[in-house]
Amino acid sequence: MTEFARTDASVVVVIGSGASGAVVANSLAQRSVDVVCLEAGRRLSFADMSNNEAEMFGKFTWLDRRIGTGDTLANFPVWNCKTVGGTTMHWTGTSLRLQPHEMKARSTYGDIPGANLADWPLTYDELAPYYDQAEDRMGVTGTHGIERLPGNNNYKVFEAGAKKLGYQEINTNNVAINSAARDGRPGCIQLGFCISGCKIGAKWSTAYTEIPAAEATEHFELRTECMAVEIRHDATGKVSGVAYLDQDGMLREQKARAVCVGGNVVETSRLLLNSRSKKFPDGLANSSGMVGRNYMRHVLAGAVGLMPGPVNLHRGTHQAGVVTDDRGNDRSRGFVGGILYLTVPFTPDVFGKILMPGAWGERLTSVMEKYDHLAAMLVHGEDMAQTSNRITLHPSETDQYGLPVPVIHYDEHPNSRKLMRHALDRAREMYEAVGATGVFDMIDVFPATHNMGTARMGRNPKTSVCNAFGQTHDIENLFVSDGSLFPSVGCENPTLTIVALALRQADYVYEQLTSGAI
Amino acid sequence: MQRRRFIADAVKLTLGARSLALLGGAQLPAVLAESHAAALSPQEMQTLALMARALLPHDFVTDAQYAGVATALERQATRDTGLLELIRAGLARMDALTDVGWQSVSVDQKLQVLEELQDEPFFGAILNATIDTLYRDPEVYRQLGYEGSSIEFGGYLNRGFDDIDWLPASDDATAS
Ligand SMILES: Cc1cc2nc3c(=O)[nH]c(=O)nc-3n(C[C@H](O)[C@H](O)[C@H](O)COP(=O)(O)OP(=O)(O)OC[C@H]3O[C@@H](n4cnc5c(N)ncnc54)[C@H](O)[C@@H]3O)c2cc1C
Ligand code: SF4
Repeated sequence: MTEFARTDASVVVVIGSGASGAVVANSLAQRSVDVVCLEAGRRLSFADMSNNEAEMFGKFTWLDRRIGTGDTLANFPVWNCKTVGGTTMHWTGTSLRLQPHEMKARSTYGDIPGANLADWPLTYDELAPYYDQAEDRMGVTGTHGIERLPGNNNYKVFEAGAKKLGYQEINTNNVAINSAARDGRPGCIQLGFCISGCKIGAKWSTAYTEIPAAEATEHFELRTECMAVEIRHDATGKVSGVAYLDQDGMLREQKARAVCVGGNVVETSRLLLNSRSKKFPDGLANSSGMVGRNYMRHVLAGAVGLMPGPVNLHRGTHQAGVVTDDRGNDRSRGFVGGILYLTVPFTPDVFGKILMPGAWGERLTSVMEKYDHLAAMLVHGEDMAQTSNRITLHPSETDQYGLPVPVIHYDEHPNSRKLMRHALDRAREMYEAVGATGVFDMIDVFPATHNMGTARMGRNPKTSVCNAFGQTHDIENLFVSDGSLFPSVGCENPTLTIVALALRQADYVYEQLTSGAI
Repeated sequence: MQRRRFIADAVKLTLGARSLALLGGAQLPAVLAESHAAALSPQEMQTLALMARALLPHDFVTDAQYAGVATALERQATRDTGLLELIRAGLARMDALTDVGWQSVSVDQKLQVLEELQDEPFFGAILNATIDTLYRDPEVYRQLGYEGSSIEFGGYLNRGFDDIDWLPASDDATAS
């Protein structure tokens, strides 16, 4: 195993081993750039993974204290992982590209009151080659000649309902889940535990793809259970190292030539804001005051149909199907932005709490006893950037690391509720069209699974934090690598775009390193 | 403000189910009396077990399984004094809302008391614990139709992941 000295100032330090961090790190290591990756979580093996959602939730979820204010869950506003592989252990693999118009939110939607919309500083065409690379790397079904997965029961109900409504773009989704053996990993056997860490590795997770590939280069060292607490800089204002708490709680510093931060938005903001100094009193890369602002998620709600026959929705892939007909921008609907419909299963304990929140007695049990007759989908839509939606540091409360607890403030934009209502009505019609005897809306019950926007890319250093490569405007050898970069979020799940941007960033960092620019 | 919805229309519960009828005078298993950690009194444990039955009345769930909810709550409460106080105070309120103590009133009255308390944090805590304990119990979730771990059976690829047979024939089976 490769090890680098903490005093070695020639290494690139990458923070986080999830979708963003692992991809940047591996891309650099493949080109013989030495990388030290700091990961707050532990490394789990396939043997540590079980087909038990509650158990796996306890094993790899980020459970350190966070406070939600506004229209969000107060005690658990954000759902992500603390483990090698980050939230790619949890994720369900949906990998759809943004649409070109979604990368021009300001131009497409105009001036939406209350929103702080912006166009991306790069075009879809500039990102397209990296989407190609990302899809191939992750083995996304329905792209590059990779077969789609077969549809499970939950999908078949969904498909039949969507067809009755006249929808046409219905398929078993683009997922980073092998439909047949590929890249040393097996095909999906429809376990039905995608969010519990796919035990056979059919689903792409950086824990068993990018990370071991990087390790094989001997230009990469992963330090697990190492929590970055501060990014330090030298007298000229360039970053010079990262302070972290190691497995024993000892404060260490790894020197660095450049730093890439991929902590998944909340932690990325927290780290930048915590890295205060005389020179940077508001935190690093924050001369614009935009670090932590414009926090976005997706509009997210669920619809559950009580069907006339058994569905057994727990059998097989989670996001087993998608309808994309409604993902365009159609102002006649009364809102801007697009919608995706995606199938999803839930276990009985989760349904028990969110199907009819607060319900009990026979009202609840009469539905739960029909668990096998339930079909379910998520509706997923574009969220609007708002400057006041923001990640800040709590003034007094600290966590077990002694760091200020992050406060996640999120107010829903009025556009979101209109979009959600429209989508839930269509979802209800889909299930009713194939005989549902009851349809339940699940609203305001989900924590955010997608986090974006808090270090947005842009051309103007006064209104954005990073340039089109994720390089911070203020500090040339400091990069943000995760969803924080998104100026707008479209309606598609973010990870494919995060990976495409990370690949593009790695090319740029490599070029900057070799040219001596940084 | 979080817009989590609570049930405004407290539905009048029918008393047909065997499970609810047992609320009248369930004989709690001896395990409950013997094994508990003594953070709560036997009387309080019994109330919690009966309450669990009222919250999730299933005919196939046994007294021992409902008692398991009380045991799980007590275990949690021994590590969490806030929870212990919440439970104690909540149980005391249940009794105070009746003349002779919650356990001694009719099934109908028992449910009325619970309806009165249903928006309170105490009630939410017990409901969540009841759901977690029972719906994560393989014996219970199998009865609901959830099949649990599938890795040992090779997933569902050859075990019915696409066996649905009641869907109306697709109108456009020949199209597309
Ligand atoms: C249940 C669920 C389902 C999802 N399904 C999908 C899907 O179908 N499609 C999709 O596109 N997206 C999905 N997502 C979102 C997806 O998981 C994320 O977009 C993606 O993992 C983000 O990558 P990331 O690298 O930014 O963060 P992560 O993958 O979360 O990785 C961040 C890593 O950084 C580490 N870290 C954080 N702070 C520090 C620190 N200070 N020091 C050291 N290490 C640190 C964390 O421990 C973590 O390992 C889902 C998410 C959830 C929760
Ligand atoms: S359904 Fe497929 S991807 Fe999901 S956990 Fe099972 S094998 Fe893995």
